Amino acid sequence: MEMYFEHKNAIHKVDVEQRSDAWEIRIGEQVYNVSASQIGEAHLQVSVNNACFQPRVFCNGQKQFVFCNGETYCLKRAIRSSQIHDHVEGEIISPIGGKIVKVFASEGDIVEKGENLVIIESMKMEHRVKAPMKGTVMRLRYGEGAIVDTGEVLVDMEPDRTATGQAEW
Amino acid sequence: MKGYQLFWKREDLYGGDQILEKVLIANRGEIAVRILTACQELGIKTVAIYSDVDANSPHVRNADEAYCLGDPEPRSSYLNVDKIIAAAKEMGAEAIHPGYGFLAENPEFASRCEKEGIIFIGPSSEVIRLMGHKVEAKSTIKTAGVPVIPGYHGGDQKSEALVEEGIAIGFPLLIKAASGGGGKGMRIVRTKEELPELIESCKRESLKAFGDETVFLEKYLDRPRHIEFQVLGDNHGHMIHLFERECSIQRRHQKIIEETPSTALDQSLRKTMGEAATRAAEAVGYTNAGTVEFMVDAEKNFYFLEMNTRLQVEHPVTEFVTGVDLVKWQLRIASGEPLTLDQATVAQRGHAVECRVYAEDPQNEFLPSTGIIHYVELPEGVNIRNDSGIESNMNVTSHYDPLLAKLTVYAESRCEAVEKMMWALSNYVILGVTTNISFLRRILAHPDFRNGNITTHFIEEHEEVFQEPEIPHEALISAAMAEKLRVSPQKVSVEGAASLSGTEDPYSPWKIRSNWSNV
Repeated sequence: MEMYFEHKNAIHKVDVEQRSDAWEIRIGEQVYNVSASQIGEAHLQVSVNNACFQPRVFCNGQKQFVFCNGETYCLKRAIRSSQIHDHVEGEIISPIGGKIVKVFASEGDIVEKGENLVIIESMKMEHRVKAPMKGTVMRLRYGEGAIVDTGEVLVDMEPDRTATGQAEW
Repeated sequence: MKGYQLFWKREDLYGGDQILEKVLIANRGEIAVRILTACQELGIKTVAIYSDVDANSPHVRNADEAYCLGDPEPRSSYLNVDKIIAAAKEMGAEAIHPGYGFLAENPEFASRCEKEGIIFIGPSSEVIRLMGHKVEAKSTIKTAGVPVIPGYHGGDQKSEALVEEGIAIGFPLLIKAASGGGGKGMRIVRTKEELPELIESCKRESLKAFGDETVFLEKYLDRPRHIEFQVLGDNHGHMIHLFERECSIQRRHQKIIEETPSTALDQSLRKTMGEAATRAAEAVGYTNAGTVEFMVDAEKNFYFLEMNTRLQVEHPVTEFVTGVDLVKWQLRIASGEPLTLDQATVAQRGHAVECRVYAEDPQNEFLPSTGIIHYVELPEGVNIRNDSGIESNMNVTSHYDPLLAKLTVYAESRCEAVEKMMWALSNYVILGVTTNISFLRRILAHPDFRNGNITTHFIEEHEEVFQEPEIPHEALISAAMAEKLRVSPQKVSVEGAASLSGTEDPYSPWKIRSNWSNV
């Protein structure tokens, strides 16, 4: 799976593949053998080619604050290496900036196409964000009360691919 | 610490009989926490004041009582004399500690306290007024035999007269607003030709910023250091100094790294300057804790700069090397107790360094950054002191100063203290707002800093400290793994992780009930 992170106006591509006993991560020409676990709030234990460190990571929507070996980095999850916000299947985008007043789904829920996911209140109007397909709610990026901008990813869904057998994991 | 029981009689903590019962702390953030801790240690009840945006702050929670001032706008809250006096009366506080900033050096506030029969924890309002007016302060200090920077502090403010005086002092020359501070209303003049124009522009800025266009001229020092002396005086005519603090590392004329002892002083200069500081404080009848600031030039000449009539931000370094609790002494002196410390017995041992952690972006002209601090982890260890008013999930607003916390360390020697500070900063986690932590580390790592080769121009003369490292692959890997492990504000706990799996994939890391996603 390709992930893109924006840091100081540069986009970094990180290719993550799960192997049977570890993650294999490619950045540029480098290949790393990685294992990781969460050991506390925002606190990870990561082993890269057998060298261990304990970064602190806080994800807030598409923003990620990473503290690693004494330095803090503010990253933004980018969708593609281009700045253009392409639509990615499974990422549910906020159609409008505003406040999340209601979250219907929980992480792990299987939702039907058209089911309500969240309500965003903007300029005293309510906007319902619905599931565009049947699938599993993998991650809710914001809770009730959060303020979001237009175009931010609200929910990550894993589309139901039982028919095609294309599931990534 | 509410309901904390003392095992001593309160009289054992005090010498006098005028014991303060309840103190209102007219401040916020780390300094309010610092002061209320000292009060609690002495068995004094505390009242915090707060504006609406600070309702959930540590300083409010840690106080015995709290009083809401409403509107966060400083003029309506922490700078509002009427509201604060009313709060003290309503809550039955007999004394007010102003901390630093806000009303700490406002003579009207101190005199209002005096009129209302409330003890102002600091010097008298007359001393604050005198020291606040830099021209008067300098001439008073000069008569006490303390050197001041050669300059013109006269009343003739006609441009022609100022130009003439400026030429007499020589170049480079500094034009300063008489009522100025914090770098506002200052001009450096290098040639005779630009003098008239810069006098006019400085006057205009002073009038706008301080409502007073009086300026004065002084010699601009070569390779200057900012070295200040802590003084402590009681109401019974006893005055001592508690050695120096080197505060030359500044950005935008504000200190960011302070240390003691200074690498610029030897024992004899330290003694001379300490005596000068004590003399200056005595000359104005100073009481309580104060700081005499000096500029020291490359030839080790020292000149009185100004006196700060309050507790300084950087007081922890002095507390480390002397073992004296300055805030407790402030409280005791305000209660009328005599100072039992003696100049001959106070000593400076080891080395202390303080770093100020600001919510600001060094890469963007040190502009303050705001936002929610999602996560805080402070370094802990032997002789590491955190003065902090922050915690996870706290909102840093644009209403107040961006100082988040202070980190102070102590060790036997300067090199050990600097290394300890490097370690502590490398373990200082603030996620959510941009801070100057990495910038502080690059200053401490610089060979010139390590050699003690520092002046107030250090930062502008060492542009390399602005150079940020490239993002390492470890950070990108951490970010990717956080996404994969779904580290999110919803707090995915390790135990809960396994149950979150909604997929039927046998290789999903959420299927494995161990700390490691793959073993």
